[in-house]
Amino acid sequence: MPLGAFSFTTGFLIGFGACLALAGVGAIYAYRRVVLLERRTRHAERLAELGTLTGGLAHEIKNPLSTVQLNLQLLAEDLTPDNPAYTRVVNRINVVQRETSRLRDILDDFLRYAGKLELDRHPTDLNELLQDLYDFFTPQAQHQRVRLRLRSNPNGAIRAPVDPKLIKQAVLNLMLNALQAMPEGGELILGASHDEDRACIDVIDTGKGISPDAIDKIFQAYYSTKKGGTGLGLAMAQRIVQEHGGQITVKSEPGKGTNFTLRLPIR
Amino acid sequence: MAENEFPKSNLLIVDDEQDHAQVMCEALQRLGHRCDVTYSLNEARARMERKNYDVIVTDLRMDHPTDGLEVLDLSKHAQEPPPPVILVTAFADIPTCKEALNKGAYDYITKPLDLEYFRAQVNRAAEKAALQKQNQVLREQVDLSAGFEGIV
Repeated sequence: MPLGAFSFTTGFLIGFGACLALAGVGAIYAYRRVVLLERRTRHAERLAELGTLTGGLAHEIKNPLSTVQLNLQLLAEDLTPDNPAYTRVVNRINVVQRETSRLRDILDDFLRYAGKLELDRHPTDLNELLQDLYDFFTPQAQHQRVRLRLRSNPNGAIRAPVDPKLIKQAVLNLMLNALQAMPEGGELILGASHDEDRACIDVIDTGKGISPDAIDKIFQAYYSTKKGGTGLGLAMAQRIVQEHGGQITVKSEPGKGTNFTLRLPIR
Repeated sequence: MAENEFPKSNLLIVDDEQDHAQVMCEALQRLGHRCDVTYSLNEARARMERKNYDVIVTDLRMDHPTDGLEVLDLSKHAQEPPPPVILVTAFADIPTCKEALNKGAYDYITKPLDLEYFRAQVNRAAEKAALQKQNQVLREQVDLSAGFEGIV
């Protein structure tokens, strides 16, 4: 067999084989991608379906809750102090009323968390946003012997296209969380800064900190239900930041304190 | 009119949750209002054909998700001037509630209802209805006297 013919045939076969192999790899890659996308779509559909179901359930509970609440309030009206059981019955009614209010708050919080978030974005100076929160929160912080500090930013305005109401809600949730971490008082620091192409908000407390085994779970809904809370504060904060295309991170040292950072796109 | 003085009015309550309809009725009757209670859109339609009401309180979602809006529509054609309509809803469905307000609903209140707030809203609506009626009577009197002047 002439050498040229051998080279041509071999070359052709090698080339053909390589093309075939490439096509095969391409096909496998495409197939995997389709499977992945299908799985993601199914997951998203399941989540959407679950959201609709749980939302519907939460709303349905409000009907009987309303009947219970109104009946309780009418019962309370019927009682007069000359009734020998007046104090006892009033106390019982007050307990049930408090619990129905709590149920209502849990449902409202859940519906806000599970519902659709519509962002009303406009350019916002995060320093001003934090100043508003500082003014609003100072009395509550003082009441709990927490010193609130606003870290001033020497580079002027930190602008980001955000929904100020929602970002305020997210930061407020972190501040409330920080307050709960400092039952004996402490320091709560707020600050805005730039980090490459992101605007950052820090919420730092000198509280008891978060243990390493808990830190991955704190953003899960209902992971922690502290007294008076609904277990959705941090989950809601994370959801708001993610809806903005940002991230929320946390660093904590048990016994020393915690630093939450919100990173938000500036474009 | 002082804050705690309000016209004792004829009210129509529409809610397919029967216990809820009854308790709303009792809450308002205790203030001196007179209430008729119905549990569906059809019953409400029949009542409105027979009788005029000062204020209508209706659930938004009954057999259909927007039955409350139907009650609102019916109220506009049932009597002149149309009575204020208050919608109550367990679904804080903002677009539907906005639609209701655009269509002329007096207000919407979300369940679970707070007794004090619910009563205050109904009383204000009753006051509005009384003023509307008073205006209508005065206008008719003015029209009548203008008519006589023409004759004299």
